[in-house]
Amino acid sequence: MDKLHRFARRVGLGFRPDEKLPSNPVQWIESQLNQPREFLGIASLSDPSSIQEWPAKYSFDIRQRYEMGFAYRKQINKHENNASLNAAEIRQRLRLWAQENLPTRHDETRFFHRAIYASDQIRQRLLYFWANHFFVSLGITDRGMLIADYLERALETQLDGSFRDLLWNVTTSPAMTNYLDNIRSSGEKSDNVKWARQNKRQAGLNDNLARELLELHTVTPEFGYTEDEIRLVAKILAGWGMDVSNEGDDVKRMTRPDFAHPHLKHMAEKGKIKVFEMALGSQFGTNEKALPRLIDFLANHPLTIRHLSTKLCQHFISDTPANSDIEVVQKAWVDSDGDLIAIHKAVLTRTWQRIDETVKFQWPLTWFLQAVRSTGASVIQGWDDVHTESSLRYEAKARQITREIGQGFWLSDLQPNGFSQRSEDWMSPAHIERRLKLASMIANYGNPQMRPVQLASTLGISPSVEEAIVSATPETGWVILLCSPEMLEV
Amino acid sequence: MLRRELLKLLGISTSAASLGFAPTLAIAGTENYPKRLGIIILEGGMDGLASVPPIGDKKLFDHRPDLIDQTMFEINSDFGISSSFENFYSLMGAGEASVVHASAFPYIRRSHFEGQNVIQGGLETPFSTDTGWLGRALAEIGMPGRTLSLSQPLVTRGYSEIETVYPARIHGAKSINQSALEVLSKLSSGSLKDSLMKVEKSISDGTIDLPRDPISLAFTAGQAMAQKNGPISSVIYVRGFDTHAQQGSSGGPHQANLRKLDSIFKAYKEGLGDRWDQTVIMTITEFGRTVKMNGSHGTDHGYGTATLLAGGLLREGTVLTEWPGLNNDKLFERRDLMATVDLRSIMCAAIEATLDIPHEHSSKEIFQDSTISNIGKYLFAS
Repeated sequence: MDKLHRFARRVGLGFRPDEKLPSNPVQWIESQLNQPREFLGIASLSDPSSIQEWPAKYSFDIRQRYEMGFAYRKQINKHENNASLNAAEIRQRLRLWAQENLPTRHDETRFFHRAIYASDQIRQRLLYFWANHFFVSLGITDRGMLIADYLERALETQLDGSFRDLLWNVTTSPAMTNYLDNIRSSGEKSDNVKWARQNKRQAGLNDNLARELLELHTVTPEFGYTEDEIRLVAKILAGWGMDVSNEGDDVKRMTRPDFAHPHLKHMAEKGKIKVFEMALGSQFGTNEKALPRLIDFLANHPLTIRHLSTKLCQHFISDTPANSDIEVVQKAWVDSDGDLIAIHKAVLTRTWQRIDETVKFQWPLTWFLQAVRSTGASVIQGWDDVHTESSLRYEAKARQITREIGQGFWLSDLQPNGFSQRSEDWMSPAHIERRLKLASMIANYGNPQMRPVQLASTLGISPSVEEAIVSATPETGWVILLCSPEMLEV
Repeated sequence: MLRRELLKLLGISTSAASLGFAPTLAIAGTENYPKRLGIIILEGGMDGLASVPPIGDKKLFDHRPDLIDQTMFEINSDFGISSSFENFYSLMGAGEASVVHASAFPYIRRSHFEGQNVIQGGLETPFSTDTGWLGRALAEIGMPGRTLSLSQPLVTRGYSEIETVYPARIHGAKSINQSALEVLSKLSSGSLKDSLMKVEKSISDGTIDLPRDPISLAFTAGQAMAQKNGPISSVIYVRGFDTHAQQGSSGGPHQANLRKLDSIFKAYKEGLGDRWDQTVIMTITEFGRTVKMNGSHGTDHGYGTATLLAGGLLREGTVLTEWPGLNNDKLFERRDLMATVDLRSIMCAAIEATLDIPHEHSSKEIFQDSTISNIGKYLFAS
């Protein structure tokens, strides 16, 4: 495959059939990093060529999501207090209500549409990287309605700023504080624990977020922190976050959240908290003042910088990046004081410089999106199709694709460390079988905008593959092209 | 103090038992291997105190009054077992299931990712190996296995004759384009070619069309293992044991997971048919959970837990343990159930009972630690 097309697939989602190719890849990186976001999609698969802006009626902000969470919780209470329903019936009713009234299905569709139709392809790939690093999965109680807000607001709006602000946004975000249980964690001396004791209820610390903040998100176990230190970090974190999905008893005590400063005073630990004293000194401050200082410390720690520089290189350059690659990114990090545009520019430029010597086996998600995008096929249902029974012969739902390929951001069975970075984890026969079937699906139902041999020649695919395509039926040709070694490994 | 079924594990010298070294490498076909080993990986850290509550230790009720299953079965005056384990409990009655309590991999840092890595890799240092203990064991005897998951888990890596089965369900693409598959197999190389050829094989042997919920997977895995030349070993995942919040007591998400686990044991037995008599199915999990309930009706990452074993090769139906006690001063770091049985010694015993690799060899070569205790005779009929 031609160098430019390989590069676009390595760091982006590949070019659409009608897209103008950039003449200078380094300038292209720069313009992609500074380009405004684009949310394009289609209303219905019955009119797939009409690509438009996503409509406001299916774009929801955090306040609307909060209200929906409140309404959902009322439904839970209503059904649980209905003695005539058994547990299975309650689950079924809640599922149907959620399907109709929560935004998740549209959120997932919007994510897939943007990947297929929008031009800000590098930005999107950077978002996938960070969303996978700071992974949250589909919660049981919130039905995943916070995930789109997490991706688009908590994460992506920060990609133009510093890593420190990104870390702050993520750690206090509604999605992360729900997912890793911080909204259920109260300081041992907090008002909430006092209240619980008087009322014979359970309340106290939960160290889930504290542990992953250190282990996965920042310094890694190499730092050598102790269990006591994890607990101190949990005390600093208690009270931070926004509860949009708390069930049962606490409904009565809910207060309206402050969206700009998500801090629940009654759950916060009282008194001064000291942790990592050697580095931070003893004047660490109260819970509310301590978190910004802790985030500063973790975001700028050399182990965090090393960890993330390495991970970025592994993601874009090679599963086993050279030390010299990692050093380039580390240097950009330190020189720019953790400015993400500078860091991203460094790793992407380095990827371009090293493109001839390196290959990466594509993630299932990026491979699928690239396959749909480059063929000009239309397989993901439109926003108006989401709640209606379709008369179409075949339509793909974003959720089904995500579940089948085992990767995506609306999944319940991944862990907080996200989808694997190592290609051997997605080379199993079961994974490859899915790619073969998805390629058939694109060929048979997606109405690709060209013949396979045309795309092969545009991309500069090697003659052995092109020969096999020329003599094959269209479906066979598409499967050969889309699953050829050079499309899987770019 | 719980003295029933007391095992003096720590006193066993590894050189005491002398079993001849089986000539395993020479065996060519699986028809020569009648025995089978199934592994169920419980992801998230299973709460052994909720699954198999030590009711003889009264401290249990002080530590976690709201997490006690009021409808549990009683095994004896010392141990109960979750009411979700209806099938497993009846297997215990038939002498075909046992629990090894207060067991854990010697890993104390309470990270899921390191924990899952060591229980699958089998070495004490996290991320120090690219292969798994079961993969290495199967490679040693040259026998195939099957993994029932989308990706191949670490535990079975290290041997190319292990298939991963997890049939796709993609509307609009019911079957694979076989002409394309043939061309692609020729065009590719390395692990991609390897995977493509395994896909071709799964079309010809029909495994591509299997149902795929964990219970059906266990049943069909059992059926395949029952065949004379079927896989010697299989691995299945059950997720969702990381119960930090709203864990539940008689009901709730933890019990729902245990019910699923119970059905998996049952489905294995049904699928295996007569082969069950020559089988061991065992659970592994990265750690147990805190003894005390946390602030959100759940439990945090701990240490000691319970390991569940079933199959006709079990010696009897019982709870084996050297019970450490739940007094605060007996807890690991004053918060977790202490582990008194090394999970690796159960793994070695299961490998010896099913794959005929002697304990001395597997502890030294597969787990790289010759000090692992040999407890096989307590678990399995000789």
